[in-house]
Amino acid sequence: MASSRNYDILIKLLLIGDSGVGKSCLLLRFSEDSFTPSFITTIGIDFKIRTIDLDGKRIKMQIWDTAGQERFRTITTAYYRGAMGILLVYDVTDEKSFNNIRNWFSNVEQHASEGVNKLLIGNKCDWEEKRAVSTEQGKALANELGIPFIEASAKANINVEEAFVSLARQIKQRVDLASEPQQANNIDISSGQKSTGGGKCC
Amino acid sequence: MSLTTSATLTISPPAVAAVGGTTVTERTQAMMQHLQQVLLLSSDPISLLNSFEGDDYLEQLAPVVEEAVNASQVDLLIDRLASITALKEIEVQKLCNSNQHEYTKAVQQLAKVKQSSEQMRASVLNINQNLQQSGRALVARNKMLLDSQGARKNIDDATSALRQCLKVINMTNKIHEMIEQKKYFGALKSLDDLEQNHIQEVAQFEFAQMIRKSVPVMQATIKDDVIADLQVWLASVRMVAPQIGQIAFGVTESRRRRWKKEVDHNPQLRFYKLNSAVELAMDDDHDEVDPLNNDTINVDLTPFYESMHICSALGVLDEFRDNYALGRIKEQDAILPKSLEFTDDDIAPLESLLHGACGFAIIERVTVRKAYRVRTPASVNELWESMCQRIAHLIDPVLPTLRNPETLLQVRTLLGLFIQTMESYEFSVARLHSYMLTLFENYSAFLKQRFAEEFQQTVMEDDYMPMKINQRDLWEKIISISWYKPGKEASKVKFPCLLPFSQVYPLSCAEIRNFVNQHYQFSDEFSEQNPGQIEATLRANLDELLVKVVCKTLRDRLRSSNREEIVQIFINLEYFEIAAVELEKMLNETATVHLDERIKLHAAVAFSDARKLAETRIFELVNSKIDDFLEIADYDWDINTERTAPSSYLSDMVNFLETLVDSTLVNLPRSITSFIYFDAFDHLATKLLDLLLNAGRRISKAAVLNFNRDICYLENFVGNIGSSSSKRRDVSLNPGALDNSKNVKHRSEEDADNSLLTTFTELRQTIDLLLSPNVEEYNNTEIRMRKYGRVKPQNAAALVEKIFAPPATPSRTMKRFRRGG
Repeated sequence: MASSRNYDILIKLLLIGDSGVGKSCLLLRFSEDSFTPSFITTIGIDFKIRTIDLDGKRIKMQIWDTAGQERFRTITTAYYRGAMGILLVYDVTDEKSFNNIRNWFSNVEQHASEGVNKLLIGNKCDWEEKRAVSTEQGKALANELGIPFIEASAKANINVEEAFVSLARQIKQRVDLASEPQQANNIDISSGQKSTGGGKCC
Repeated sequence: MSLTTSATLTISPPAVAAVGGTTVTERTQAMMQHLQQVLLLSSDPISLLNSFEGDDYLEQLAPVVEEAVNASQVDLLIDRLASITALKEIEVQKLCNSNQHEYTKAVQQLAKVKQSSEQMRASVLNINQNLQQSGRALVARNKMLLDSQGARKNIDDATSALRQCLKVINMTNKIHEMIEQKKYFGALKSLDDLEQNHIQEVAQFEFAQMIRKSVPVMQATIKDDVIADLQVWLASVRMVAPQIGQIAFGVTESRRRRWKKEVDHNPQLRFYKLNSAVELAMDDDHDEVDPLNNDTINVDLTPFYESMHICSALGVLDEFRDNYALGRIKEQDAILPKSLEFTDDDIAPLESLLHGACGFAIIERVTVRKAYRVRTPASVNELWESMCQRIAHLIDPVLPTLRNPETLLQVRTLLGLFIQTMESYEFSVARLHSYMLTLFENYSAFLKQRFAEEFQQTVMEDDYMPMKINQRDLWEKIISISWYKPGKEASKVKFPCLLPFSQVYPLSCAEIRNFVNQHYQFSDEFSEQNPGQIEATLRANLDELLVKVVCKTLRDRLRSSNREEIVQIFINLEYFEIAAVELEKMLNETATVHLDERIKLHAAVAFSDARKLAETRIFELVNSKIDDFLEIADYDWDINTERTAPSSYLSDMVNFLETLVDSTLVNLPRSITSFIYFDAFDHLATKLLDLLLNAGRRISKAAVLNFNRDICYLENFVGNIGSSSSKRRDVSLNPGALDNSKNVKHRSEEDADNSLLTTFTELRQTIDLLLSPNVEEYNNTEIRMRKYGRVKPQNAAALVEKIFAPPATPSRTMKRFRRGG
């Protein structure tokens, strides 16, 4: 074994959004397919890893989960730059979290790498009776920001997989495009040489 | 008359002989002589006259005549008699001749006399007739008189007899009446009187026998009626039993209040419970309401006594006793329901049950005191014990249905009153005391269960964040309720402030205090057979609660993979451990009885153990993150180009660890963070060595150099930790919570910092060996001990082989190394 690597592409994603919108729950659902109702707030930063197959490639996704609380903003902002994709999450039952998306978006614009892929997620879409933000409002905002949009529910396991995978797919496409000429040039280089890597993209 | 005179003349014997033969002659002669004698006897004229008038003469003559006839000498006799007569006539002629004048005169007189006598005779006849007539009337009257006298006597007898009978009948009727009027005792006396006395007098009459025969029947009727009445009385007493019990409860309640006042006034008395000799003596001068006889209730025991006396008089006391005992058993059945239902909202059914039971028992006590011959203490006690048992059995199934511990307290109060009341009536309350303990255990289990439910909820709702307190009120409340000792004086605390634990801790403290208080509330001033058992139960249950509910739940939560949760549980556990120690002190201080040994809670140890587990879990979680990073590590062992920067995964890892320690783990004591680093880097070093050892057939020089760059990067970072971590601590959010642990752990903390670098020693020596221009120096023991002491020979061999392994067969250098190794 010439390399310790067991994947083809590493994709780093970042979850941001107000405290309590369900970022950790979305991540738990995606990484471990589980859900536990809790009042626990993320402190600082965490991440989980999941490997998926996409178009015959093993995609290792390292998904960073950030604390939504203002007091951790400095800590979390440091992680923007390394992200290849950012999931902006709001809570469809909490209008304030929706309104804050603009702030989160401008943070992304300010701190994240250029060309980073983004996705707007309206979480808790199963909780219709409490809904405060309509799907249309979500779509409208996504259009305005020029990013894709999806409503999901970590609790009811709606669209969670889709959200992460679609963002991963977009990133893969972007990375594939960027590395194509490179790959052609490096055709003689030994097969063990990686074509792309997390470090290179950030 | 003349014949008679002549007969006195002598009869000549020849005349007789002439009549017949010798014999006849003889007989004739004899007859003659006889006749002669007869006649001679009357020789005197007066006597002759007399003899003529008498029968004797004739009687004497008759045999003579008879003899003559028999001797056929009648003629001779007649002749003789004729001669005698003739002689006599001559005599008479003579006499007459001499006495003619006189005779005539006499005849004349005689005629006169005869006339007079005729007249007299007529008169006499007349009189006689008259007499006879009047005599007949008299006799008739006399007969009538006698008849009347007889009738009268009969009437008198009959009247007397009738009177006797009437008396008996009246008495009998009266007895019947008395029975009807329920004057059984009078009836019985009368019956006895009747049987013993009155009925004897008229015993000859059939009805009397009937009455006599009916006496036992009447006695039986009386007995039956009395026993029937007794049942009625029993039922009537049962109806008022609850009221009796209620009043008796009231009496106990007021005694209890008075005693409490006394004890408050004079605390030395607190060792004496209600119903103790001291209490009884001091409470003596109080006129208590008699539950059996007061303004509302008046239990008349007369029917009972009467029944008893009657049955005694009837000689059926044994039967009465059995009957009464049976009656009481039935009454008890009637007083105790088949099943009992009471709820948190309505405890009244239990209250009335206990009132009824109390009233019932009081009646028992009174009867046993006053009539122990028919109500034996043994049977009363037997019934009492069975009643206690049945009450317990009635209450038992209700207990699990109750949702409110307050209700159990009410049950306790009622039972306590019941016990004290019954004790004052000299009933054995040992069984009830033990039931009280059962109740207490139920109560305790109930509280425990409720605590467990609430605790689960609290744990579930906890945010696992240090509590942020905005108001002094709340802060003070938390300080007072928990066993947390703030590092600062209350006045110096500024708000908002953070408390090290999450809300589950103060909430649990409140619940624990509540739990303890509720236990003490149960024992209260109610007398206990064994007060130590309350303490023991409390201790056992509190310990169990802390170990099996609090500690176990927290331990279970440690299975979570949520770092925030585990970190906060770790911190909380430390405070729970302190709480357990403080609780142990509190239990020992508040123990109401002298304890043989100090109360010891196992919870403190359990919390400490759980904390160690939490610590391990934190290490595991951090290490799992290290593993995650290693999963994306990307070492190309064949690489020919050297990197200028460490691997990105490693810088990410280091950044992440720093962030983790500064944010997620910031509230952990420094000792723990040091150990976390140590453990994490130790783990990392092992894994990295594994990566190296598992590298393919060959490791390029560039790869070793790149690997070395990474290790240098780590070494550099680890070297800086000691100084930076103390700086971080000053600006952290940690409110200096774990002050007490800080000092204790100080030394080991330093050790951890110092030993952090050593975690990479093996790796470092291994890389040094691989980068050494002369790998063979490994074979030199002295050098090996100094420079490669931690490198395992088999690793060294394997790795050296890899670095000398390029494309073709192993080089000569390698062969030499092998030989040397």
